[in-house]
Amino acid sequence: MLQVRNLHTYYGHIHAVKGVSLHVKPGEIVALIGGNGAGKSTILKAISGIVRGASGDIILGDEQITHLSSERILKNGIGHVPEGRRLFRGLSVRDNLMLGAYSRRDRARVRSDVGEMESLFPILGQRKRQLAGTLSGGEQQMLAIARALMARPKVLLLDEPSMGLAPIITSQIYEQIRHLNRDEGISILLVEQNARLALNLAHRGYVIETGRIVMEGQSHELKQSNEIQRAYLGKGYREVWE
Amino acid sequence: MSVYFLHVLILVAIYGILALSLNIIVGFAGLVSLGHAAFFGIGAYLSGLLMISGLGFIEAFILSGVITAILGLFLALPALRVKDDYLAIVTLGFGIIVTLVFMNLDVTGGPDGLVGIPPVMLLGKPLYSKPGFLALTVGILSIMIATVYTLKQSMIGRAWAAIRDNDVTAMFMGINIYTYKALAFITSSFWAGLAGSLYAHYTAYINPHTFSMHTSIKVLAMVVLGGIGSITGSLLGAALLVLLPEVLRPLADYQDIFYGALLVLLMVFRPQGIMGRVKITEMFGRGR
Repeated sequence: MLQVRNLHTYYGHIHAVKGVSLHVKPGEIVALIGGNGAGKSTILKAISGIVRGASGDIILGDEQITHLSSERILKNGIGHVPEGRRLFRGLSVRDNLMLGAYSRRDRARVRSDVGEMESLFPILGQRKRQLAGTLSGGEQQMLAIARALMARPKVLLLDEPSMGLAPIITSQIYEQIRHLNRDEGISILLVEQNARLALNLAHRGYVIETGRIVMEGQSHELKQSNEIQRAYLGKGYREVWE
Repeated sequence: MSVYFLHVLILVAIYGILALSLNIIVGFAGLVSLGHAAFFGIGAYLSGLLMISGLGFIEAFILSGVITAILGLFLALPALRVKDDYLAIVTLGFGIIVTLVFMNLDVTGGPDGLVGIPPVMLLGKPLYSKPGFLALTVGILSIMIATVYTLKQSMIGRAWAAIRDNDVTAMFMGINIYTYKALAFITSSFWAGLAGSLYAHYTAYINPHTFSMHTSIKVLAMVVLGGIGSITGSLLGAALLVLLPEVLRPLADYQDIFYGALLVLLMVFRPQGIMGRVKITEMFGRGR
């Protein structure tokens, strides 16, 4: 479905992503895990065309989308839920959803999709007139995901959906993501610092370190790997929130 | 109704159109403009000159709106390369240049202004009566309110709101922010041009002073005072700032002091304006 081959990106002179290749099959959840500054978010931004000047190939279905504008990439079917959610805080929940469908021209379908989002995330229906900035963190994350879904993407890029959320809220969000994938058939590329969370959800995973993929495999294999247990799952330490 | 009262009401309606037009730039799209009187003036001079040169009122009226809109686009092209405080300075400069052009061209009558502008002609008859002119102005204002309201609720209005709220995220949604910012300037200057045309034919005499920076600030004050982004607010703001000097007239020399003090008090106690939700400080990218 989505294929990335030999991707390189630069911020000025800094070589942030150094030849990454990965793919997402239809109906799959793929996790990118790794520490701060490993280049995970940059990979997502390069795919959705927000970071410009990437070299390599990004292919969606059988179309080259590498050098398209972010508007075209969005229309082609890449939805991006950015890190930190980036909602229109001063606009209503409903307006945020409508703006997610901005790139679409089938107005009638958009209206029914708003209804669909509100049944998928009932809280968004209850709060439709409320300003997005006044929602709780978890509600904001749901709105950010729903807003991206309004563009009817084939692949959803999720950047740190657990960021800044209480563990119980995080697990609710992850349940929603699992549901979207299983019941709505949406392919997902997930970036997450919390490796355990990500690998429990994803089918496959890639481990990124300083702009390179250092390991890849099925989630259950990665979870077993000594290397990952030591570096990312904190084996031997009880995580406080568990 | 007394002639004086009708006169004040006509000014309220004309400034209502002008304030509402500025509200499209400032309130809907979230941009700053300190040069709005320039569009008002361009519409006024154009309409006056076109009618003096023999055109009918309706043609002159519509042409002044359309040509002002095109000039609005010309301002938008360089202005939209900058943001916030810098945009304020660019629009301020534009306003000053336009006033200087009115002041120095022969065709505009220089500092003496344009004399003998023909009255509004409808169905072959000149419209001299004040109630008649008030009805015309309020009619045009009503059409404007209806279109602006529709625009605000449309996808265009939503795109403007998105840009105002967060222009980077708006790009994430696939909104071409430059197109929409330019569209705000074009729509706004169109209506400002029409307000200018009405003003010119109403007063029959215009001079550059009416369209100086002082007026730009006054119109911006109307929008801010009424509440940024609110249609009712802009109209209230216009009414307040046209009526207030009239009410304060008995204070003679002290009039401006009270006028200024009232503005300061209102901004201190209600920074979001009478009807608005957005505060003025957010316009300059602070308070986010």
